[in-house]
Amino acid sequence: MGTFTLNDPILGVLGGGQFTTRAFRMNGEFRDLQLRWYQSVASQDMEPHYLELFIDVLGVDESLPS
Amino acid sequence: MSDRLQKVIITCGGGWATDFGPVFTGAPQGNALILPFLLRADNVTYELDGAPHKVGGSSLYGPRLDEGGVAVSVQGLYDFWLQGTGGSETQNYITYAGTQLLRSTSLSGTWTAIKTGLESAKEPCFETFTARMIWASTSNVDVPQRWDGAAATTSDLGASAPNFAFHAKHKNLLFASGVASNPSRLYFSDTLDPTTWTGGSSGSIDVDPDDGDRITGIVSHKNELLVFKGPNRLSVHRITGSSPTGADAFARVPFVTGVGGINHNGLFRINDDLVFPSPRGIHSLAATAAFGDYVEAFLARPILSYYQDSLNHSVLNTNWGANFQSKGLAIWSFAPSGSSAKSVYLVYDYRFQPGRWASWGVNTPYVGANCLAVLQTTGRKHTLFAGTSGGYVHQLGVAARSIASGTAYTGDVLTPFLNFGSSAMKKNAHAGFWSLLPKGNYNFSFEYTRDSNAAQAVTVAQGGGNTLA
Repeated sequence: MGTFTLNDPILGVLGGGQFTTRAFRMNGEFRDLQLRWYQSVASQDMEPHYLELFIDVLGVDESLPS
Repeated sequence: MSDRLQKVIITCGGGWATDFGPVFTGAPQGNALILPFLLRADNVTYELDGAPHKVGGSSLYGPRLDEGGVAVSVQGLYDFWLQGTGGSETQNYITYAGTQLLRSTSLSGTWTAIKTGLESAKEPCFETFTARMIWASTSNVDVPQRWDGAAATTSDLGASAPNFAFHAKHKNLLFASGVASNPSRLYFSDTLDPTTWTGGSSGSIDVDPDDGDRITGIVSHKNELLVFKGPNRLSVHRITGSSPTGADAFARVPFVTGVGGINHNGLFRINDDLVFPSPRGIHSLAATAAFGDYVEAFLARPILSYYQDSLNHSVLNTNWGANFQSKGLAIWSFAPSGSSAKSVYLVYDYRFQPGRWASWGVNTPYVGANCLAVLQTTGRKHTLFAGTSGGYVHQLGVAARSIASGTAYTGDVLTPFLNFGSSAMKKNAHAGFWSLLPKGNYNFSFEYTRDSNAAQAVTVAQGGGNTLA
């Protein structure tokens, strides 16, 4: 399996209006994916609204799960 | 780039749920994957599109409450208003802390004792009736008190008043219960006279006495008095009628058995309904009326395993609830397992149908909530307050995201594992795009876990013109 490289070069700022869209590159294989987002710094807020992922379906994985 | 690339927009369509399992197996519909539940939604509230937003922080109201230099536990808070006759209303914050009842005039942050020498650490009840603040507690020693807003100290409610623990006005009478020597007896005062409990219109009603339960809470709702019993067999009863005698005399009508209340302070109204915790879950009166004790109708159904397994049930009867109506939130504070300090908030957002749960203080600490109340601030905003066992009164939900204007806490959201329709299909994510409402020139953290790999974290910048650093 590959690894995520989410700290790859910036893809740019998209969107407009109320929301700001932050883009990142991903490159990793998976069957199941769990997401978490958090803000733990004093005096700092967070309000993410939605996440867009671009997913390549590679095919049936007949290998035993790791 | 592969021609099999699929775009998936992930949004939140449900709240915190511990009981749906760790995986959501839904496939994207029209490129949208709406998550029906979250495994964690701690220290957040929801925007109306379902997006979790870190809950507001707190600021302190007044100094620490001490007795002899030692912090005392804030057991209850109350907003006491008097209209008077001169066209100018007056407001006092009231608290029962340590061994005292205290008031704060003009919301100055300065507390003044109006009653001393009480038993500490009891569960109080407050009501405004006939231009008096009426206080009682679960103490078997302290008798109910009344205060007119002007006297230097409170007075005993009346020589004939039973030593009740909680009370509610209904039909121009003060109803009360929680008398240790008569645990199933519902008392009521004379008409518009809470100082008189013998003669006149006063009286009492025995509610299913000696059934193994005691009366745990009462509330006036939709022209009836609802009487909750518990904490063992559990039942709810209706007191119909409008006066002690006559053609429309009070009568007790059994409502349901198997669902009941655990205490008075966790029982309150939302919308046209009553909500209340029991040892078995959190319930709605309307759902109970429709479905009885069917567990599917429990308000807390999505988080029942958390409720059953992760709370300290030996102090469940000290929980506090509040209807934070201006935010559409029904909120209860509980002590988690292994602790007697109420540090966990279960938060039910009833703007959604069905309502969505969130927690505060479950995964990481938020403000302790030994008691909860909605009080009006100097700016006349109806605002949520919490009293702590360490002597502090916090105003919650303030704009600054820190506790007492300094301490950090963590807004934290965790999705179930997503297989995008099939766990047999291997997938590869190429790029991601977070759409957010920037809150400042700083970051939040995004973390992802692929299968059984270790979670990997990314910092997402909210401010500035560029994206990930």
